[in-house]
Amino acid sequence: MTRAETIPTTPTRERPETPVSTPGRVGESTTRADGVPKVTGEFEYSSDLWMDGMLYGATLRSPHPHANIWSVDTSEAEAVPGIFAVLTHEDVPGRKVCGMEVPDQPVLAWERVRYQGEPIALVAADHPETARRALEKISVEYEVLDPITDAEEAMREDTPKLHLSGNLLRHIHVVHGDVDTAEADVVVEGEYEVGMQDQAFLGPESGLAVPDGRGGVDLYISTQWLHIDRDQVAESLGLEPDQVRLHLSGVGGAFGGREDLSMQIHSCLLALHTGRPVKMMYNREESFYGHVHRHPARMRYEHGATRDGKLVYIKARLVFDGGAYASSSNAVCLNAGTFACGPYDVPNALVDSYMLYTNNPPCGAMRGFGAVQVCFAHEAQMDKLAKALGMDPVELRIKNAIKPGDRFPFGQEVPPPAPVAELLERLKAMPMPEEEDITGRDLRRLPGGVSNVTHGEGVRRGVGYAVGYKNVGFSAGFDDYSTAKVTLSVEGGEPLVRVHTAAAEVGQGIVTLEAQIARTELGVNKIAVLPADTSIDSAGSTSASRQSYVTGAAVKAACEAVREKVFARVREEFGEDPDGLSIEDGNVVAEGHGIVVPLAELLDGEEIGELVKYRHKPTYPLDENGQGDAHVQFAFAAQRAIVEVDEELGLVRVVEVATTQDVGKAMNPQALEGQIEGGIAQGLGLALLEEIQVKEGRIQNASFTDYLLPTILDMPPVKMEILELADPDAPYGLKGVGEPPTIASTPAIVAALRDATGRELNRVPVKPEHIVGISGPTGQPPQPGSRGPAAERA
Amino acid sequence: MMPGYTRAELTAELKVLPSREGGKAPREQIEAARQAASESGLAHEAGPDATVLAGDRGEVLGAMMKVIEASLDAGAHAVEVKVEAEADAPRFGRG
Amino acid sequence: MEFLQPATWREALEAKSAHHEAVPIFGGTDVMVEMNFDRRRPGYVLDLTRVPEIQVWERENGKFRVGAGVTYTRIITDLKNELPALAMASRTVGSPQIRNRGTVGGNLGTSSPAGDALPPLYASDAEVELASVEGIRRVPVGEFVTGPKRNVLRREELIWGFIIPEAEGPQQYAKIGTRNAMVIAVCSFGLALHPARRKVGTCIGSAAPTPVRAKEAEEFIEGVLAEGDLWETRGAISEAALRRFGEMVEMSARPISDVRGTAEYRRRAVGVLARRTLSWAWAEYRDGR
Repeated sequence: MTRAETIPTTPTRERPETPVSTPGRVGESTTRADGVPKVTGEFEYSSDLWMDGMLYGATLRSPHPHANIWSVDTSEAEAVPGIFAVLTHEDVPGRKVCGMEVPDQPVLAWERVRYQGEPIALVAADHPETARRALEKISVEYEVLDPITDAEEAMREDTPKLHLSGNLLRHIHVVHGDVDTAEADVVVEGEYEVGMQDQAFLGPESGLAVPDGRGGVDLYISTQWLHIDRDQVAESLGLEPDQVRLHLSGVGGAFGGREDLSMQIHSCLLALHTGRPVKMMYNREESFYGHVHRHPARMRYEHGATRDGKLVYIKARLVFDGGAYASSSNAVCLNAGTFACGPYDVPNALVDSYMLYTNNPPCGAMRGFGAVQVCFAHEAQMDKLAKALGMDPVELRIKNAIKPGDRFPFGQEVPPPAPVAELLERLKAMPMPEEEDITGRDLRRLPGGVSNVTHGEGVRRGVGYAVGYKNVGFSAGFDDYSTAKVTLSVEGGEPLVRVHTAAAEVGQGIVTLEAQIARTELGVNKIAVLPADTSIDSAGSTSASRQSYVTGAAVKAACEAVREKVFARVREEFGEDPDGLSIEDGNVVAEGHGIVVPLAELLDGEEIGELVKYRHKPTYPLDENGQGDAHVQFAFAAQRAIVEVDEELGLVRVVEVATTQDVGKAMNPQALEGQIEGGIAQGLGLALLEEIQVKEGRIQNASFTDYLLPTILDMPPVKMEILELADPDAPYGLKGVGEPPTIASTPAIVAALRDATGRELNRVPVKPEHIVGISGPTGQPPQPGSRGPAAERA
Repeated sequence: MMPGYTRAELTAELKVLPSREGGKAPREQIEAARQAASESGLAHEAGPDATVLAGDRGEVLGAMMKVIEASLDAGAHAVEVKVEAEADAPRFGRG
Repeated sequence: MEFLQPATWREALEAKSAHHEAVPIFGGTDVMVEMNFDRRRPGYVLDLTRVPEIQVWERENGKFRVGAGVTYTRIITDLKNELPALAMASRTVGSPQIRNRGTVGGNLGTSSPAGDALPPLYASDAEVELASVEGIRRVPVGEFVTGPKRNVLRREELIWGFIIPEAEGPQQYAKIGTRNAMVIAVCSFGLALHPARRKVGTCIGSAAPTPVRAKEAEEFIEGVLAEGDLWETRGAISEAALRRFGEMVEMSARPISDVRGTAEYRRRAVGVLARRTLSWAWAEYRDGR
């Protein structure tokens, strides 16, 4: 074997081609305005905020996952020089609880703490180090209690209740057809587990609260939803909503981890108490305790099918560990329950989705929101079924793919477009990459990379497929809307459009899209997207892949309204028929006879502004059998993963991920690629690397040393094929794109690992121990090459 | 006003003001109220001595009475009650 | 906290002598983490980045004296042919930014069983040079590290650097991490062939309280090579002998289970790395290097 070059001298990646940078319209790869500042370090994130005279806030957190608090003594801390405030729950003037869905979480704990890291007290100091030292001087008398750390245990009657309403937060029951009388030729069962993933956004929780001197406060903050933060802050401060003004500052990623409150109420409390601006910023370790995580899940499935591969029934029992407080667990439970069967036409289904309180770290929204967990399970089941039937796994999926006109197991009719079969067919048809010769291969293209663990020994290749789907937007009757104000004016002799929404830009590119839409609808190149704040009505959450759809539609509608006014004026002044008019390059143009009037002249120093509140079509709650038209749009994505596995060491290299996704309309192709690659990176992370390890309610790896995110050396090239089939109800026909890539990538990669190793791999993230075959409570490894059990009923 | 995904038809916030003469110890008076609240399945802790019931109008009113009764039976002299019907109140729009 | 900034090695030794509790810092990739996490708040920090004497390496009688301030990047670029296992190990450290600042001196000062640079030092019988105002002493690296993050450095001493023989035969280093970059070793293995002395040097990393040589495995394979006169003939080592070598290396490991891996996995993996690295080094030897 020739010597592998262990110190590579060539770059790992080719530099990408420079993209088009002219101001773009809908459908063009428009460069982000904040792109260059972000990579050159000039962009101001919320953690960079600074104001003269500001104080630094810090939080005292419970070291115990479960304890009663007998007393809190802040006197020693208050005496520390440089300390300006020490606050407890007694200092919360308004409502003492907050929460995304259920207000069950204390702003500051009073007599009980339910998770390790729960906030108990706050300090404000003139130096962050002083703040930290003062925290150590707060004495809390705890009565440590046994934590409830298992969701199944929490469900039992005799387990102590963590909340007044009991430990079962929600139970979704979906009944479709009749599984008891359904006859199947082949049955496969499985139990699957998904570990606790973390959003791990790089920008820490941070913000600056500035009292306005009149009893109110301005908060500059990183968040996903300004208005839900504002409402909770106002409630707890005992203020009117218009006394609390939130301004979005630079957000360093979110992925669901910023929907809940972290330091919003805390910093405002300190600011109003001290009369000075207060900045709070979590370090990385505190960040892991300071936000919710993805729900760990245990899922038991049973699939029944006919001999020739038609699904007859699916039974699923899903148990989610919601941790100490509700966050958005109710909605995750509903999502998982409705998507549990996958994008397949199945005549009978019975799904029970349980959401439990425990003393584990609280869980809430994370990209994929319940669909990730069930997709891992149902795709593993489909592969098991294919094997039991002797069928190709992709053919089995195509055969059962759901299509418009079918009914989902929760009763809703599948709306067009729903090209599941087409996505799978195109994916299958994508050519496989050339298999590179093992001998002499650059180490960076072997499992383990430059860590030099293999020069090809033990390396086996595997291929796996998966398809997943999810809803776009908020569901089950929620009043999901967005608001946009568009103003056309003249500045420096040129027309200018100002777009104002409260949509939170978290890195996904909504600010760029708003400008693209304004340019397209109003034919003006110069667009100013104003900073998002609460001076305008809500844009809804930056989550559920919904902003392009809902805020995009609001901006589009507001632009159209402005345009109508412009044309009305043209008709008045020039007698032109509005139907033949359009705006191009800042001029009003009539069909047939060219420029009628430049906008600048028409406006003559005036402004035309329109405010629109856009709602998508309504959704409805589920009934007691889990039936209802609960979701507004569905997005689908299929993935093929190719992996190479070192069988003796259990190390993995993902060679390539190919994907097909239906996006309705690619609003910004380059941004779309970014969303797809980013989603795949997170799916890869869940498959192989990422897990918050919790023991007895305590986090074991609250640091990037041991919570491992994929690096550039772990990410494979991504091949993608986009289907643009318009959704008739959505602006430009678009579909939300952020979440689908992260849903099917995890099961596709694990399917490829199973193909390469023959191991059952029922749990993610997959560890080298599992691939090698060291597992089980006794430490006895199962026989190498064993397949999982597949019960067959004759 | 309770922000959040779904707003209950009715919410009732109850604060027990324990008495020091007769009846059970103040802590137990609050516990009795909590116990009654928790049996309804609609309750959440809202503060050191406050509980919130949220749900349909009928069930919240019913549970509320039970909580008040339990508190009085345990010796409390006063129960502060605040009832809010918020289902149609506008959200996020003020400001 | 006082920040001492000596401009020469002599000044640094004097400062350490005057302030025993001063913590030396060069790249800071370990020390700064400890300070930021509040695990260590020394009254004095001794900044060695201005001391030129420890930032050099030099040849001395077939050995290399490498100062404690030579970064991983410099070892990779300057010494990859002369000290191949150490250069391979340096390449696996962190990321480019960390390699630009981190040093082997720091690895020695921290004395973590997971220190990437340590196994190659053990496998080549390196020595650590310690200095104080009183004088210099050299300690074999195996005696320098005494336990997890413990070593024999005296309070008035500083690490000048290390002395390691130039590679006289093929060397290898392999490290297991669940991710392809920026990982703390789950376990690692360093190997060096010493044809002139007919010896094989090995070291297991991150699978015991300190880096540990697999002595029995070394004796075993040295015996196999001697018996078959393989050093001379450059013939193949049998599959069975390679396998046995791996098994014997496993027996020298004393791993624990933690967030990064289980004890059993570490033990097995170290055996696999041992077998593979020996086969690569021997193949290189057979090619006539």
